[in-house]
Amino acid sequence: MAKKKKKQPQSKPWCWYCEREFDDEKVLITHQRAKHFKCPQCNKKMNTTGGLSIHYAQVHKETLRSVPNAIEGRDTVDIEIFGMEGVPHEDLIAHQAGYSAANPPMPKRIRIDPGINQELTPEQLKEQLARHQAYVKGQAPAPAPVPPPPAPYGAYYGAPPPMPMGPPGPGMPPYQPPYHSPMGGYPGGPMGPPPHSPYGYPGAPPMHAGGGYPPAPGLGSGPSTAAVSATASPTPSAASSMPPPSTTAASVSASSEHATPTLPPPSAPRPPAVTSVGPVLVYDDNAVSVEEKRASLPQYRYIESN
Amino acid sequence: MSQAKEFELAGPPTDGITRVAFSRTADPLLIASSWDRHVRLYDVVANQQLARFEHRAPVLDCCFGEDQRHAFSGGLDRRVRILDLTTKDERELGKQDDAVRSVVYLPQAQLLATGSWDKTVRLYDTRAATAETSRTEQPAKVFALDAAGYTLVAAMAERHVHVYDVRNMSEPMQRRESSLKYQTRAIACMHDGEGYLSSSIEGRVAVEFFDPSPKSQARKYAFKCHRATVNGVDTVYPVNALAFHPIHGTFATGGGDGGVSVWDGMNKKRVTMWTGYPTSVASLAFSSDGRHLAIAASYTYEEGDKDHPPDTIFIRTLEDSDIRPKRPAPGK
Repeated sequence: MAKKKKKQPQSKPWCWYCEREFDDEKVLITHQRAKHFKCPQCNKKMNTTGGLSIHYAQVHKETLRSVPNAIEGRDTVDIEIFGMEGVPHEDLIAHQAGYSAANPPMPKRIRIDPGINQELTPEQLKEQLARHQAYVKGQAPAPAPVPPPPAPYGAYYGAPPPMPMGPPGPGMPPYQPPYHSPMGGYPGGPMGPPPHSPYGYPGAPPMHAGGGYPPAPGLGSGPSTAAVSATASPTPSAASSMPPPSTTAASVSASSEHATPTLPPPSAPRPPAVTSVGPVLVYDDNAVSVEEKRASLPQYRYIESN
Repeated sequence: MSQAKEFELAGPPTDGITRVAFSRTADPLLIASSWDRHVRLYDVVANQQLARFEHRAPVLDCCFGEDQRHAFSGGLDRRVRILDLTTKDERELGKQDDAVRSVVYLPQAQLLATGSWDKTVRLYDTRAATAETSRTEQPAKVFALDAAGYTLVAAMAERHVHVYDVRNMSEPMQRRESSLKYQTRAIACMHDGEGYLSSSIEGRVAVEFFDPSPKSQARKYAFKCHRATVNGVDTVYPVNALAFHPIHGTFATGGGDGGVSVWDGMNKKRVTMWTGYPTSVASLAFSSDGRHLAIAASYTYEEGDKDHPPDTIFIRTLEDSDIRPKRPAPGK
């Protein structure tokens, strides 16, 4: 029983909202965007339910109560699911149970590596599985009281949605938040540091009068608006294994007791702005323009002749 | 990028392009100024270079005048010139005390405005005996200039922004401090005269309104753009170019990342994005019918003297979907 791939241990990726299976997680994500994260009013596709409900609240001024096209009991907006990220643990196990029952050659692989699955002991797992199977059959009153796994759950609205690919990097075009949410991400956008300075750039000179822009309402897709709400309430996951928000956002500012350069654990699924290096300006000379610098080069220098 | 939608202009400038500008005629002519000390005139439809004006020093800016027959230029040689595009003649309108950074023609006022590193904004009237009709001292070097109607916006070093009515240059109508925290890179006035855009070296664009009432000022905002993660580092590029679409009121931004984005400023949405230009986008211009976009892909020296791809001007034929707001502006 060597360690298996992360997440989706044995079954194909499947959609928590409608129990449909997919060959590829990419297809699953596309499906979720098209089926479950699409705004019923304006057809805008979001990345997560959090994004959708915030979009719904800000743009249409209504509260989203259920996820579109979800099967009964799975239409809660309170769980952030992105592909296979964030699927409640019990449901994961239950699904696998169902899956392996339907696929006889697979059963021996049903064991889940406890190390990967959020520090549950095999006993707990078995117990949970049994309880959940019972629950699925409608014999048990309530789902497992086991605390939810921290990682996916840390990402309710307060945090950027779980991104399986980690921080936006060169290799992840489709869901790159800064480009994906045009303009919306202005105050404390997905890539941006915490929004305590009007322009979101800590460590820079204080803003002068007339500088503060209000957050642009009704904008953006999931990630950015999710980040907006992060300004209002501290991330619930701050108490988890993640470093304090100030460090995650590469802040060099105020909260000095948190301003340690501790890097988050390398495996941390927490996305953008985790880099300890702040944004790097390609050209950072604030006083002199590039043209002035270029004009001083010997090949361009102009000497007045008359 | 589909090939049919975009082509490279033949005979591009041979060094950094500082400005591309379209004439206001139906068959658009394009002028381009460059660090190679030339202003070039192109026929965009025939993809042909029609004329070339040599200057004594790099040319920092150029613009069309009243019609397609005249253009103006300014550059490191401190001269303001009027170029006759039909006879290929040129005439000096004036000499300033330092490089002329920006030239902009105001058709309504029939005046040329210049912004210079000599810390002045000057107006020139080609019909007057002495072309220079006004000179207004500024607190700092002028980096960018644009105008709509009679309103002239000058952005300077140290984040100064002055708004003038060119009919009264003695006092600025408004003295502002740039809303962006970093050096201003470009200015573009809305065609309806309600406000302007400014962009900075720190990948950000501000949308501002002239009307000083709190209600109007509440509409202003800024947004981040032209940023990328390069090897795990959040890299922020200067926004070199701003251009308003003449019909739809959307605007294009071009940055040091070699990307062009079209934005719907009223709905705060990106309409389109084209990436992957060989180097920095130095200047952008919409043709007057709004059907073409000229994109000058030309290294702008933000990373010093380094090897860079050759300078090119792309002419992109625009689809309606590239430039039209997705839905009507709120309240209209």
